[in-house]
Amino acid sequence: MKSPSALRILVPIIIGLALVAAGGGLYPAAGQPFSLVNFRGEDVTINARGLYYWDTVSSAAQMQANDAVTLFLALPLLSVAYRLTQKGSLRGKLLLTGTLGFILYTYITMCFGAAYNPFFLIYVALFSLSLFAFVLSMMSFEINSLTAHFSEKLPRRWIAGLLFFAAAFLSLAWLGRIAPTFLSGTVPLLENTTSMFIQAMDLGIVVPVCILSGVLLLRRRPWGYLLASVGLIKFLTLGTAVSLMALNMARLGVPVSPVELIIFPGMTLAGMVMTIFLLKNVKEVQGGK
Amino acid sequence: MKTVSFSIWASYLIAILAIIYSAAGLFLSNKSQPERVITPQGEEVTLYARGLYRNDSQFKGGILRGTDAVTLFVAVPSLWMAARKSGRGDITSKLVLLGIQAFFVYNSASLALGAYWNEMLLVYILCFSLSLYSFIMLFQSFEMPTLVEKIRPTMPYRWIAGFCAFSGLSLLIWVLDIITALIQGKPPAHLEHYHTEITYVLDLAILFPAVYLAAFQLWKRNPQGIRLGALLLIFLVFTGLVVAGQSVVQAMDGIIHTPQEYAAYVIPFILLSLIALGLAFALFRNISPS
Repeated sequence: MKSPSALRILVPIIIGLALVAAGGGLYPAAGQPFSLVNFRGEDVTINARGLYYWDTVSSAAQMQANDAVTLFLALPLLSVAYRLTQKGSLRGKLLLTGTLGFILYTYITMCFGAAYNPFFLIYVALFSLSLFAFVLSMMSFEINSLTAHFSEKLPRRWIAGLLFFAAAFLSLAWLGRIAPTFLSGTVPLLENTTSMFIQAMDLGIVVPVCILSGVLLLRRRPWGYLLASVGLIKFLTLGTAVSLMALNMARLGVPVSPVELIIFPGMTLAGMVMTIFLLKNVKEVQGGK
Repeated sequence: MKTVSFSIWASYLIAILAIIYSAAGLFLSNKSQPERVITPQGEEVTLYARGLYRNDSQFKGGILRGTDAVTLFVAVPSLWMAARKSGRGDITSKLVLLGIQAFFVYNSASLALGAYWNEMLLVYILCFSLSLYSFIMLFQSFEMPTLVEKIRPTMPYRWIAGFCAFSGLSLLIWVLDIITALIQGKPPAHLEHYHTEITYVLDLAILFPAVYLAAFQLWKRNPQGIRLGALLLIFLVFTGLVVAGQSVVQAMDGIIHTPQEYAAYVIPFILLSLIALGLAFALFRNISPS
């Protein structure tokens, strides 16, 4: 299980840039949020402080929760996974790929979801670097022999079930948010964003991956093991971020649906349990590299 | 072969979805007057105020409709033909199909994430998803040893490598925009009421590194560079057509740029597109059909 040498350059740069980007988002700043009615007739409250000055209070609360997860969970995990990968550990490589998936998703959403700010080029760089690092890491697995590295005791059906549940939940939740916008005279709840970027990302990329990896895992195909492993680790970090986002929004008095407060943390907990089962059922390669 | 057949069927579906959204963008119009709004930052923006792109700016409305025209009248028929020929196992058609699918990934992502919300959002998302996964599967389906056997010794690796490296420089115009804005302490010109600028993101995060990766691989005469280089050449041909289409529709909407703006943002892309077309022919001529 050799790791591409380019990752030795890309991963440390990603860690450095993500430290700057997440640290900048969390850096305390004074200011008083203010309300305005945007040109589409939607009431929004502008954050009016710090890096996320032109975002709404709700968006800023979500991005800062994500920054905290990036700083205190994803980056330490990425560093540990990187060290383990260097030692030839398959578990480390799965963790590395999944965490790179989380960083990639995070900075795609920051590129499209954060109101243009002075850190824009850093977000673009992180999107680009993590995309190429993720692809390199995915392609470095010896895919045909991967199935042999997982124990028979791996709870494939449970993992596939969780992936299908995540796909169904995301589809229903986001289609439920898009559907009312087709009613005549309805103002879509975009706050001050241009489009429904999270819905586009989740419905266009995440849902098909969940379904595909669940199906392939049930059929014991090598790609199923890889995609499901990467998906679970990405969900663990992303789920923690989304759960913290909901809690942070509730703390700041932003209305949060009970579904978001219950289902996301529930899915994160289930994802955490499944990730532990998955990593316990990985058989390491003798002799490292 | 299963992955290729998925990509071919996906191409037909992408073509149908693209006909729906591009025709809607191009032809739906309620003929109202442009209206002015103020952004939270206090900047005045003129909205297109008609058709599908009513919430987009007047500047971007023309760009989006110009792209729709090229999508509908050039990209969709090209996609359909390339899919048909690829189905017969023609490797050069497969390379062309890969390039056209890359155009549709870019186009549908730009609409789903960069155009102001409109009723076509689900169609954009579906087209984005299909074209992305179809592109990945088609890209992976190339058997490199087979491709290597078909490459003639006269393949102009270094001409294409040099062109890729040169055309990549054109994308630095976006970095210049961003740095100028950072120095001036204000958002980039043409950000208008948009949350962010998707063209900067896609061009700098994906296209720029891909172009230099292709240049590097081609310079080293690595056959992987032929796959990446071919798709980028086709993509660049479409970019030139799109930029020309956008300028025509903007002119029809009454937006005439300064000669300096045409020299910086329009003419270079059209010239690059023409050179890309010539090099694409040279590349495909050097791949043996048998």
